[in-house]
Amino acid sequence: MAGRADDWQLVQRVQGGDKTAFDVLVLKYQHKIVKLVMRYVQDPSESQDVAQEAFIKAYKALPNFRGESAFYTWLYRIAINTAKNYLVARKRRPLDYDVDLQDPTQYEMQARVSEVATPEGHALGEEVREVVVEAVEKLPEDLRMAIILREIEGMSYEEIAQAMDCPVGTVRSRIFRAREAIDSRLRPLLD
Amino acid sequence: MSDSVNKQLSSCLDGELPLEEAAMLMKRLGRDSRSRAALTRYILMGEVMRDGLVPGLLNGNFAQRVSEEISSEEFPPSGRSSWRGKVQKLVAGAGVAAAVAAVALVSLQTAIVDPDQTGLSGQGNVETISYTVPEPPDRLNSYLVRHGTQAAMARNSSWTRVVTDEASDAAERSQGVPEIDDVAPEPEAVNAKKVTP
Repeated sequence: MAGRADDWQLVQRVQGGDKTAFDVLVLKYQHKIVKLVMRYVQDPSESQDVAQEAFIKAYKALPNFRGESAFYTWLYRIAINTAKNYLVARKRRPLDYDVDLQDPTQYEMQARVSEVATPEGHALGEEVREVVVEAVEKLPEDLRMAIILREIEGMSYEEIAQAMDCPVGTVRSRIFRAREAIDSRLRPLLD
Repeated sequence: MSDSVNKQLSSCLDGELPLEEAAMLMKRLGRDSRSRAALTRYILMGEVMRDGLVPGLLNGNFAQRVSEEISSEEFPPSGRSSWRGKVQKLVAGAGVAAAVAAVALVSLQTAIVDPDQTGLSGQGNVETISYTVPEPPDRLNSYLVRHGTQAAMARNSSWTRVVTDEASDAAERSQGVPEIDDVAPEPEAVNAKKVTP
């Protein structure tokens, strides 16, 4: 809900000519889209190429996007079509199973991709996972609850405020502090 | 980088940043690599928490490649500016309708069978069946004629406009004048009233 409003803001900025806003959308959805494309195009490197093409197609088509569906749902369809077209062009048969085009979240819940990455990338990925999980566990209860409700449950600040019985400003602050605490452990790993 | 910027990034990521602040933040993101890196890490930790991390994207090359591809793209004209295409489609549709109408009109008029012209009237024991397809009512007839005429006029008008526009665009391009697609077309009726001194 909040994500949708946020995306719509970004989309409108892109439509107004702000390319940075599209960069933010790419950063935000790159993992989801690459993962989705990997279901069709199983090679990690090719998946990234196809996902890149999907993002570029989305960018070109963005002037016609009117926000009637969520941006991610729209992007998701573009990515699936791009992956299918890629396989057809490569004369490869798309996988038999299909994903529910109408419900990206359902797909997300259904199965996780068996990720194939380079050994270095995989090792770094594992390290990042460990650091983040450990950092979340070590957060004070109020910060942990706030960041989990936001990131995992997808609740808006208003909803979190009601759930935690505190002002929205406090929620904003708790989520930020939680991210900063996790970031302090994550940054040395990635820099 | 100040805490306040990071706090804005955090709120922006969650769709909880006021529009005017978001606009400022986007400008900052466009020029501040540290802010972008912080935003990337915020996004990354969310993906890890949702078990959505793709390790192959950790080097940041993917987003960078997309950004570079896009920077070489001229942003496509917005949907609002496609009025010319829409008008052309409408006119083309009207043209097809007019053609169909014209064919229908001709068919109806020639369908009035004249037994003398068929060569069947004087043939011995062949029973002549004389029939007449009723003429279309005046109202329908006049509609078909009017519709066909107007559609043809519209097609001419559109064609003239397209040719004129293209020539005009080419001239503007050669002069380095940027294309202005969002400008609404000037009503033709206004042009028609202009009096040349």
